[in-house]
Amino acid sequence: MPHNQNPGQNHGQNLGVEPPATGTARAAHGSWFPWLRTLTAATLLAVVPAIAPVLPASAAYPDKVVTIVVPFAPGGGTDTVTRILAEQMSKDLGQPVIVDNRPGAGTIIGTNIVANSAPDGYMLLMASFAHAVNPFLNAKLPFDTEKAFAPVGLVAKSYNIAVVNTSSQFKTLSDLIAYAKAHPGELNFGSFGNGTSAHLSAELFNHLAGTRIVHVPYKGAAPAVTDLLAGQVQVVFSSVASVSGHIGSGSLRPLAVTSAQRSKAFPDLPTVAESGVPGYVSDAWYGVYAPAGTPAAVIDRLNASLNKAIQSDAFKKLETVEGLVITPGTPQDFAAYVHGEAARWRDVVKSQNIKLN
Amino acid sequence: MASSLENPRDVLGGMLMAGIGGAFLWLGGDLDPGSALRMGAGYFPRILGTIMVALGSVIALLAMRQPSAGWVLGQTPWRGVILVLGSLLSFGGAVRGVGLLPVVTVVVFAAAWASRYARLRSALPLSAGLAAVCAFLFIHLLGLPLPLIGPWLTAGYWSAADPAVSTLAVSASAFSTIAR
Amino acid sequence: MELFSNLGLGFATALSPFNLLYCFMGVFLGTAIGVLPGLGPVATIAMLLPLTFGLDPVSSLIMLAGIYYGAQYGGSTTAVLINLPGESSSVVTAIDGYEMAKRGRAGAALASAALGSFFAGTVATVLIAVAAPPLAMLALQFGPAEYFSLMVLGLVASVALASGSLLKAFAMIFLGLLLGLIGTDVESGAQRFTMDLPELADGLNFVAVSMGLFGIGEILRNLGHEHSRSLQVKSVSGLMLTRDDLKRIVGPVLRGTGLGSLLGILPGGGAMLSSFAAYTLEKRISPNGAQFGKGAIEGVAAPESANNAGAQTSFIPMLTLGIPSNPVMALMIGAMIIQGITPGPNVVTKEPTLFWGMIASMWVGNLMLVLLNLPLVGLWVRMLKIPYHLLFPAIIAFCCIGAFSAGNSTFDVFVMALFGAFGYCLIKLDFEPAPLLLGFVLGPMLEENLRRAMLLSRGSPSVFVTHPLSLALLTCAVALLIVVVLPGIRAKREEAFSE
Repeated sequence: MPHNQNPGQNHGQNLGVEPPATGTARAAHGSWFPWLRTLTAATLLAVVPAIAPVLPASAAYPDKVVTIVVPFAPGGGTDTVTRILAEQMSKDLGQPVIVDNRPGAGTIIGTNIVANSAPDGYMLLMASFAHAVNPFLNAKLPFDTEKAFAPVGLVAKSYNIAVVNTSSQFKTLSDLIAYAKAHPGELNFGSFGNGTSAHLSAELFNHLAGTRIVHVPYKGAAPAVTDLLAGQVQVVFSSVASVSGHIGSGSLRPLAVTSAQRSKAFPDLPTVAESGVPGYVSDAWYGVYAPAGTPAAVIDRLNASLNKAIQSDAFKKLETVEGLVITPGTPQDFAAYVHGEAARWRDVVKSQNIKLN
Repeated sequence: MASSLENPRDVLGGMLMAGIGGAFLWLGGDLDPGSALRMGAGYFPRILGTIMVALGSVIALLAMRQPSAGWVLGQTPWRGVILVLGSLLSFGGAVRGVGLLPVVTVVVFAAAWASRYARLRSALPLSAGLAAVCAFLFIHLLGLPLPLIGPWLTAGYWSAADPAVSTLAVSASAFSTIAR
Repeated sequence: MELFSNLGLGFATALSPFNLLYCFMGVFLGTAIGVLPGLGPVATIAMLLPLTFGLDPVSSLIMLAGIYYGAQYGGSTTAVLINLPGESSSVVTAIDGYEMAKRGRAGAALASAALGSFFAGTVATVLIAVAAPPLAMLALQFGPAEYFSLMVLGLVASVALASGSLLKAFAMIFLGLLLGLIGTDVESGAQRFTMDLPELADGLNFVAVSMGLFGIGEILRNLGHEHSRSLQVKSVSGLMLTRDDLKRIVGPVLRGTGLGSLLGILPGGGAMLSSFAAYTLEKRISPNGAQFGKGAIEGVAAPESANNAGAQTSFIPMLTLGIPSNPVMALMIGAMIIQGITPGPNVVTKEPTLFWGMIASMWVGNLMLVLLNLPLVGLWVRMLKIPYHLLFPAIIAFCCIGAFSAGNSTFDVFVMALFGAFGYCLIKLDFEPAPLLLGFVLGPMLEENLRRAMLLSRGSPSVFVTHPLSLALLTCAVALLIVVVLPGIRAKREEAFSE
């Protein structure tokens, strides 16, 4: 079974790209073409027998490299988490697990590649917050988020922190709420881009707290946090990794965590809900999907490996560093969790009238 | 700022620039311009497109005003242009399917004939050698996520009932028929 | 005195055999990926990140830093030898560097780049050691209004990169700005000029555009001139610099270092602006100004010094404030956090070994780079003796893989092909592509900061003149514009009179 599939290739073909070199090159000049054809034929002859005996379908999964697609550029939070996960999973699976960064279009490009891959367990997707909210923000997705994927498992949940500059007059979240209510439209919040967790967490806050803090989008975490430090924006609902250094050095003041419970990394910090916005919860999460139609046995194997990997010491280190909450579970747990998240954010997106295009 | 607007090269160049500006204006027509105070997605493109049309028109008009001798575009190495661009397109289209090793061999070999000095005895070892170097360097050492030999070259692949694949197979056989 | 004891600690750390080894590995790897088009330091460092978890934090950061500034060295090599700028900072180097190579002076170009970079690296290292904390405050003085004005100044300055018609140079800048619009609008999220292709949602890839315009365009041009046999450099004169060369580059290297050190501190494009700000400055003030664009050694030495100084001082906001000024610094911060170190003002006091060890290692690494690169110059120059008909297919293969590796996307290879064809048209029509690339890079930042400044000021354009720094920068831009445009107008008028 695996040998006659082509992980990740359907995407390219569907775009209707050029056929192999022979077609285009031939058009140019006639006289040398026979040589090229001979060469191609020779290459084919040399290569095919070498590959063909890769058999049989009954071979235990996995018998070759497993790829996890990260729909972000290298170096971000999702990328770091995936690389450590991949390292741990490859120990358990006995095959290399490689990370393939396919950034762009708010995760749509990378996600679409996995949606169109062979459902054989060799092409996986590292999904996160954007995966659940993209259907409500984008009118046209090239895939069906509900139907195109089979859940493998939740890697971890995470949360955001509402942070202000240390020189800010706001000592608690209630201070911020009181000021924002008295001066609507005066304060600014920075986000890591339209539709990011930092954006929607703050919009949910606006929605539930009845404030009107103006959205100022940035291209990613670094410039937004810089402008928070410089005092251009007054508050950011940031991911932990992007601000933990500044909190540690005392240049930024954390006001609250967005999770339902207080965090292990900041036990003294109240939640947003505790600070006068009852019902407020905003989680970030990381989870692995396979293309829909992947055999149940393969999913189970991957889920077991994933659960083992996230309980390794290397991974636990991320709990404080990246603000992860490690939550082992079945594929069904994962699916139920993401459904709940999607339903909640659909209401926020609708009520706040957030649109991307 | 010595040499400047001589034509007809500059008439053409100016018209090209004005045309590109116009194309951006046209394509961006449905973007919301917003207002000067609160700019929308279409505000900046509109300003830039307008300036581009103006700049291009000025270049073309100035060039028309002082005609000079002849067509100075020079000759175009059509074989080279087609082979080089064809090689690039083939690489992009085939690298994931065919794999790095075969595609570099073919692309280098084809591109080599863009030069009038190409000889079989130099092009063959060049393409084979470069393919080996690239495969070692980029896949083995740098871990680029590309197959060495791609799935299109595996035996079972072409029997798969994927419509996209069969289309490709048909077109490939059509090409080989034409070649004959 | 405290400085010396600190530097003593730093050198003791950096010169330990283990750290020396990691420093060497870093600069070697950096040089290698710099020379290879496409694959940049960001991708390399990201790939190596998991490997550094097991290392001592000092060693891993020394190595990662080495990759970064090593890549700056290596990047100039491909720009000079085959007109292939893999990063925005080496676009400027390619202009005069490649011209020098065509005249058989590739050795001198590479040597001046290496020596200039070493000098700049030394000065910048001292600067970080002496004055990092106060300099870092500069980074926080720059809000959206200041960045907008800086970008305007940068765009006006980039006109000087072209040596032909002024109007055409402006057209190229605006074309670059237009191309930079393609993609998702940061503020509204609207798709602009993407023609419903998801691959365009994040805009055109710089590496693909640059390699197409410069690398592929140049190959096509050369294929048209093959009969003239000027392609193969017949005589390669002196690998080393002559006394005259040395005399010519002293000033440019000094000024480039100063400009680069200052601009490098600014997050978001500062280091990138520095290389062509230095080029523009030299072209204005150099007695050999007329030679710029035709192989002036100052046109290589100044931007290369500036770019290395900027690369080095971009560590300042990272080390002292925890602000990453570019994606590489963001990765370094990630590496530090995972090691349990919180970047920020506390690093100097809490982790003196790390802070001073890293600073000392930068100088050591720069020394290694000179020692590594000067002998390599001979090797690289020998590469130019390879007959062109064998060299260019290799360049095409490396370009293809480079364009692919920039985003692991075959789409970028198609983009490169398109811009190769377009670049060739531009050459035929006598438009110079360098200003286009700078417009392309600066355009998105220009618009983003314009709109963000307007959003934060709730729609009042007066922010650009009420902020003193912004006003100063805008005034410089206007002055420069007058300086650039006036001679052209005067020449035109004289021409009219003489008729």
